[in-house]
Amino acid sequence: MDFGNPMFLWALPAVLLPVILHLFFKRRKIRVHFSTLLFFVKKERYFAYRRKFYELLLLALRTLIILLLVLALSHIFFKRFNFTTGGSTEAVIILDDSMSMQCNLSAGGTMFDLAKRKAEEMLNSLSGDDGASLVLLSGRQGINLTRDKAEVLKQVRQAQITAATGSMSAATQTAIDQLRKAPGLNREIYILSDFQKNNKPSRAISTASLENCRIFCMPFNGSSENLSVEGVELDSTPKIVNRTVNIPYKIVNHGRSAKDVKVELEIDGKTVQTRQLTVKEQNSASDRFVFVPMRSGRIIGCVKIIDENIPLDNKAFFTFNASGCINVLLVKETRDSEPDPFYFLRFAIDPVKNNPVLGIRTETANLNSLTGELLKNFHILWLAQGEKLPDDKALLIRRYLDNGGVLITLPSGNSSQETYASLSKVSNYKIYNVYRAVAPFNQSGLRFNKPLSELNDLLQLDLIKWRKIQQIHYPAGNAVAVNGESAMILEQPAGKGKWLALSFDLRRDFSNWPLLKSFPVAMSALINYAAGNSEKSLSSVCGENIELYGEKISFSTTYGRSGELKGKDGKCVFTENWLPGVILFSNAEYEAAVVRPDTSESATGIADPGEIKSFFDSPVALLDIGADITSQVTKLRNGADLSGTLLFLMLILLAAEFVIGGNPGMLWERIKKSISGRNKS
Amino acid sequence: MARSQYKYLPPETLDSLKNIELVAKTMVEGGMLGLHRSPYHGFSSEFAEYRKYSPGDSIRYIDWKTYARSDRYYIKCFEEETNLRSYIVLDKSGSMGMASGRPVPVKFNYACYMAAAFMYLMHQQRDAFGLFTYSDKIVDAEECKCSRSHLIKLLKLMEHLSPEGKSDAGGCLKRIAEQVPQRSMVIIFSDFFDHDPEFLKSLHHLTFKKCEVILFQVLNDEELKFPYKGLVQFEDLETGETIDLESEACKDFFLSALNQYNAKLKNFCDSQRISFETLTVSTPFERALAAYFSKREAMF
Repeated sequence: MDFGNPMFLWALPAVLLPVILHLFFKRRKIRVHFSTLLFFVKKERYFAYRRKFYELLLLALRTLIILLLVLALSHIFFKRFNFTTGGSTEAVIILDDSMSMQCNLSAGGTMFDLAKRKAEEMLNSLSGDDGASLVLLSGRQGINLTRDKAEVLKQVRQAQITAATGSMSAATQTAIDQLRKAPGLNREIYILSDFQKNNKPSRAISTASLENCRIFCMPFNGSSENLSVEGVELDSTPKIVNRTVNIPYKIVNHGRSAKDVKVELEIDGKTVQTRQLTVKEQNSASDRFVFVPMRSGRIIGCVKIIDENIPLDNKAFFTFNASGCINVLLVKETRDSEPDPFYFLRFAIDPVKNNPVLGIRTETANLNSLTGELLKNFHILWLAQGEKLPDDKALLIRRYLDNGGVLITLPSGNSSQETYASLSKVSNYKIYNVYRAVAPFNQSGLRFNKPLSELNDLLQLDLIKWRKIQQIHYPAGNAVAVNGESAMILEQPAGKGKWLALSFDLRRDFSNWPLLKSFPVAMSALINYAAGNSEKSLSSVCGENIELYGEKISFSTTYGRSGELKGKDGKCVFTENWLPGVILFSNAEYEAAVVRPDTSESATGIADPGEIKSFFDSPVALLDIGADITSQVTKLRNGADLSGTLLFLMLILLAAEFVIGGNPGMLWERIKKSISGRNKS
Repeated sequence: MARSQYKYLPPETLDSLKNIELVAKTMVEGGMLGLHRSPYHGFSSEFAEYRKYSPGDSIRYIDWKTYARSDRYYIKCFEEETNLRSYIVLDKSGSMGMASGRPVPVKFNYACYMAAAFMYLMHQQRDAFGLFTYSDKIVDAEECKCSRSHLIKLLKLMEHLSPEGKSDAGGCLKRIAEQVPQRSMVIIFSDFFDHDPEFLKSLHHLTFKKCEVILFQVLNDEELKFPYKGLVQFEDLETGETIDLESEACKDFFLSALNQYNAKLKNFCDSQRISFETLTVSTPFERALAAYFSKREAMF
């Protein structure tokens, strides 16, 4: 509240005049002791009550009339905020660049385009001494408070929509931090957002720490219809050329009406399959594409739909590395006198020379010829060692495991506890030597655990007769296959890869299994399982930073951006992760990253004005984006002049007083009487 | 009683009552001889008839002259003159204490003056008189006597009475009607602001016992004219209940309701041969009394 002519407030005591007159002329109530009240009917009380009410009503009307007159003369203003006229203003614009702002408006264009225009409009309303800054809701870099409004304007114009979500609390806190350091007397925060319901902060954002701060909200509301593609997660099986790859997907309808949608599978920029789906309102529909890669190497694709509203969530990207077959390097000790430990295995998984009919190609090498370059070409290193593994070879294998390689070991000849002990001595990361001594084992049968447990029903594994095993002991490991309490195949993580330790060899020394029909099936399944996580890509959501090990990593994206990341302390961080797609890296441990849009932004539920106000714990002014922003802000800053309204109200009350008080009638009667009296005289 | 020293029987009243004689309109029974005719033939100065002597009759009343003429025993019978048994019934409920702008309970005092005058007249005529006072129950019940000491006792008793409490005229009169002998005179002083139907039944009971019943309704001028103006808070003297009223707005209704009530009561009294008189406290009670007796005389 503010007063233009506060001198008139001295007349406020006049408000008491009707009260004093009322008390002065108030009729005294006479108390009479009467013989009986039986002749009075209760309804006669009505006359007394009506009279009393009538008098009080008149008193209230007269008091209000004088009060309104005094307030109107004192030129009262109503201000929702304190605004120091003449002082400079520091304005922070919080622009919502999250994916939901890509929603279309009925008038054309997107909410984000309109928000940028409104931000420009607001910036233009600032005077020369005022400061301005831009904070983007997604967390993307904006611009700090500056007097150079042209620079802020440029930033606003250059702002791009992202497929990330945003934090209203974090953005407001950034604005508060900027304003706290600012010299201006007036501090204002302008929030241009759609105020999505699911982005509502868990508790009201506090601006109490900042004095003289005003918050103006401009809520944008676009179309409520939207379709999005989600759930494209490929399974972990190795992707082999000419073998089927399942590509599941889910279409979500966030709108209020059922939609027919055409779903396309796009591989390397070309549509290869299409589907037609009907998705009910506020519901989802799931299906899958079955794709057969025809070439080896990295394949990039997406499942896409055609939906005009929020195009950023219309594509769900995926990538995988298709190989011609699973390459297995079989490494044996250099002593040729020993029988070939892989004799039966080779026949089981790669029976035809130079034709991997089972999708597995084997190559045999001696331990002495094992090099890093050789290992790069193989998914799996299968090691049959009898004597102690030399330290240099152990180091070589550890590096291979670090980069995601798979090691399968089995006992051979005079294996002992020390055979693979050197693997655990190289200490980049923890790896345990699980082998113990070779011991007789007069048992039969084998039982696979998940995920290979399907083999138990398929194969006659109870025909396996064990003679001896090299005992495996590692309680924290994952037993892939067991016999009773004994682990027969044990898996433990090793770097980014894994180590599968077999307790038996693949000849007839330890069991009769190599001679059984179940052997080749079980070995193929084991190799497929072991090579499962050989995919070297990661998954990320827009807005998240991607951390990679490396000093100098090059990248290129499906949306046409490329560059180089410079590392610090051996680590590179990819920060500009704002759009969905696939990012390809070179010289990094990951070859690719699949970036998905933030699914929370696909929902189109907008908070109503009451809810928007509840985002904050201080008063908030909602601006109408359909009207001129400058005039609205000016009005809120200066306050509303209530004099006219008060005078109008006073006139209404005066008329009511005349009607209720019956004064016009009485006055007329008096005039008539005085005229007739004069005529007579 | 040459010089009265009693509140309700001042000396000036005695003079005005000198020539007033109460004559019962109907025949009443009495224990003593008086001016009133009795249906019982007894032995008095006024001859009625002869009848044959029967054993057990007193030989005092044998007419010896007739015996001499006829040689038979005849007893002389006389028409007996008996005294009147009258009961004064005084309403001392709170409603009778209406002050009428003065600090004295005018209605009750007026009723007491009237009662005292009646008692004095009874005494002068050698008629027996008793007194009942009631509010929500019978407070005083004095039997009928005609002695001077009884008059003094009742006058003193009345001096100590004050109007208070609620009224249960119906219940009290019913009990009085049960106690009062047949053919008595019952004079009731009250405002009769009792809407209890039991009250009318009690009056009917009294007339059934062939009593002469006289109702004196004592009212204030305020009750009859309702002179109040502006906002008035009326407090019921009996219940303490209050009601705020615009007096001008409800004056007509009140007076109309009062008149209707009185008319209804009067009609009932007429049907039961009961005298009903409304007295205003502004009228001097001697004048009111004289007016009543002149009216009463005209009836005989």
